[in-house]
Amino acid sequence: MIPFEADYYDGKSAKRIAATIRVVGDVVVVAHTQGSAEYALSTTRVQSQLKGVPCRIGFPDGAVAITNDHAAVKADFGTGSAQTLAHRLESHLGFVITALVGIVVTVALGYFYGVPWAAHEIAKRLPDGIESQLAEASIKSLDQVIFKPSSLNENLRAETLKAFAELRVASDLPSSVRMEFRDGGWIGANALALPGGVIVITDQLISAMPGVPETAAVLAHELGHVQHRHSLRQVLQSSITALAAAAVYGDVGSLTTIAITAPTVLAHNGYSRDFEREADTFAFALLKKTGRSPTSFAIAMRKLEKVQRDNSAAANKEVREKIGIPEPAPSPAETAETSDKRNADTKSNFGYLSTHPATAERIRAAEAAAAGIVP
Amino acid sequence: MQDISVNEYDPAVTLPPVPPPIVAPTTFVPPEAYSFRFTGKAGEFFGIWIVNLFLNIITLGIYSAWAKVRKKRYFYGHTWVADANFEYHGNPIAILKGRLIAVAVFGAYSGIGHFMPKVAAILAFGLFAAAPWFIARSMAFNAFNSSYRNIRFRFYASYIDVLKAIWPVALVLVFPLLMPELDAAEKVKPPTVFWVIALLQFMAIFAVYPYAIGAIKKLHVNHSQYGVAPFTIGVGIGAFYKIFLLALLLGFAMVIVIGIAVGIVVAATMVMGINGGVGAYIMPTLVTILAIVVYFSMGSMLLAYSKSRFGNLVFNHTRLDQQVSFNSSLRLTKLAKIYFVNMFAILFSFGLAIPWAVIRVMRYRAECLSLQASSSLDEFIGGVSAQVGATGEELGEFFSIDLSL
Repeated sequence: MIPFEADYYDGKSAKRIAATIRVVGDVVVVAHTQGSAEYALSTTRVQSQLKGVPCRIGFPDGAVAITNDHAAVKADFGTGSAQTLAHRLESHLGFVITALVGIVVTVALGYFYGVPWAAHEIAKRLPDGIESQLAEASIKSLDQVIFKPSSLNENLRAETLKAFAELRVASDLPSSVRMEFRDGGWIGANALALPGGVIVITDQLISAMPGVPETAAVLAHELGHVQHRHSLRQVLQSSITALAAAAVYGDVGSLTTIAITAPTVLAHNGYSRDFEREADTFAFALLKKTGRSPTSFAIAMRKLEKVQRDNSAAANKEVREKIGIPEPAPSPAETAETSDKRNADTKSNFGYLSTHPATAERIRAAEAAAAGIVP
Repeated sequence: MQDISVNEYDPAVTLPPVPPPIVAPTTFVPPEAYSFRFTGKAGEFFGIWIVNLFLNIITLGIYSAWAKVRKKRYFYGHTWVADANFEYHGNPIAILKGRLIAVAVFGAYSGIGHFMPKVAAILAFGLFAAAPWFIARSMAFNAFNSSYRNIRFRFYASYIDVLKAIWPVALVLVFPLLMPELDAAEKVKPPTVFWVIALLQFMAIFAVYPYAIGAIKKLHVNHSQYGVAPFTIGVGIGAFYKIFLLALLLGFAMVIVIGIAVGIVVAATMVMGINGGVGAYIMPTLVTILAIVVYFSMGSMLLAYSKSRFGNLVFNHTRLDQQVSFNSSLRLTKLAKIYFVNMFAILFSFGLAIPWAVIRVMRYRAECLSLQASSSLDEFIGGVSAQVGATGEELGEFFSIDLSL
């Protein structure tokens, strides 16, 4: 048997004692400067190995021996106790790479299929009461923070409600699905589908639309969100993603928490874009079913984009005035088409950060759907 | 969730150094200084981390108890001072039991919360009332399972001891519940009342936060022992307030400086983009990049500020049995730089740089820490030992009671 050097600590004081350890038959002999000790081999315990950490041998009286001579310990005490499965896996390059690939695949599958599936299944099983509670709570807080009471004129309101009722009946959604009018405040032209089947449409959006058919197209899109319970699934998916991220990376601290917030937000927006596409598809079918054309959806999208552009043009104008740059002459080269093209490019640049798919893509989809019915 | 600096609260690393003490002339021994060293390597730790992660996933989290022990053993085992390393002895089964209890309690709480909000409120109150106990147990478990030179650390604090340290936080958190008329008032003037309450709570949190940090750090040191030798900390709560107020000023200064810088860049790009120039194309990308840079630089500065200032304050005032003092010289700029680079590395590697980032921080922290002993470290003696359960710690972790506040 190979004798080896170790630091011996008796467990009674912090004193470090240089010792030589040898295993003779079934007996471990620890010879040190203060004397010696003998232990039965079967009563000693070699701690499982960990990369770069010295080996620790525990004795029944609470004393320990610490050594870097892993080879001698292996020879004298046997490999079984020190070489746990975990250590072998951690030291095996092949396994480390396998684990790495496994994790990447798991995360990708979880992101694309696992989380949406789980949210969908949970949403199906949640009692309706919870969803309507959520709806009431969210409209209450939106009223407090963003919305003001609607000041839409009676005719427009009645026409919009009529269109909504037609769409709702055609969609086979229950009569508890309702719509609310609000002044959008700082969020301006917008429409939201809250959990529990409450659709809020702002005065600004209705006035921006050329007519009721376009408003109806937007409502059909929101009914798509209701049909697929997107709001609830969004809440669930965010919670599941956050939980999973915390489970995977969570125990490494505040630094990581800050660093992984960004990817979690991107994941959230990615799911939003999928939902928008799903709602668009539903809207096109519903519009056709009620004898409308998806073209009105394309018109509504163009209008909304223009509202957005005008807003940013107004902001640009303000900057120009402040720093004294003259108003640009309308460039003859800038036709509607190139302007659309540029907007589409800018939009797709924004792709990962935007919650909606690039508008041009949605307009194309609407027109393609319309082409199916328009003679 | 637990802090990256697992060792921060660990008496093992929280071992304070003793400055040259004044001893009777006849027995005067020049104090010996020992530097801490962290010998962990990113490559080694990556293997442990990735295997932990993988086994966690395929065992649906059951392995996490073993993973935690291996991670802590690696960190402790690679932390050296005076030619000996620290050791972690947590038993995975004890940790797993604690985690299962935590999951059961949490599951019961959220399940009941949906169907019986009133019962859930009572349960929440119960958990709140038990928080001091969780904290005491968690600190005791960690201390008992840490050793240096085969002598264990200990921690004992009673429910009342912990309550004395955390009561202001508890008060602030339950503050809104103490306002039963809120609902009625809301109907009269919703926005005003809503914002006033929110503002008051915000200010109250600011007012008690330094107290909570200071009181918990003091509790932790003053109730810890190495063997039978007690740790003591000689610093008042005022010092924590001073650091916190300076942090606020630093935060404001950063907001102003970064705000001006971002304003200039964005304005310049807008000017370039006005007539359909290049600015319009790069704007979205630019805004994204700026947002990330601003977020990370603010985050790393404030994190580095609090870690370095609070860490130095605590270590530099801690004594072990009047024999040992500590010297911590963490520098704000150095630490902020490490954090900033770490955040980008973690972001762009989809998290795979985490082991590398953690090791960098551990190494720097050890580098900045040393202890001075007026007598030999050999003199410390152990004492009777008793097992400590892990339930407190795991419940604390699960409910995110951040013990390193």
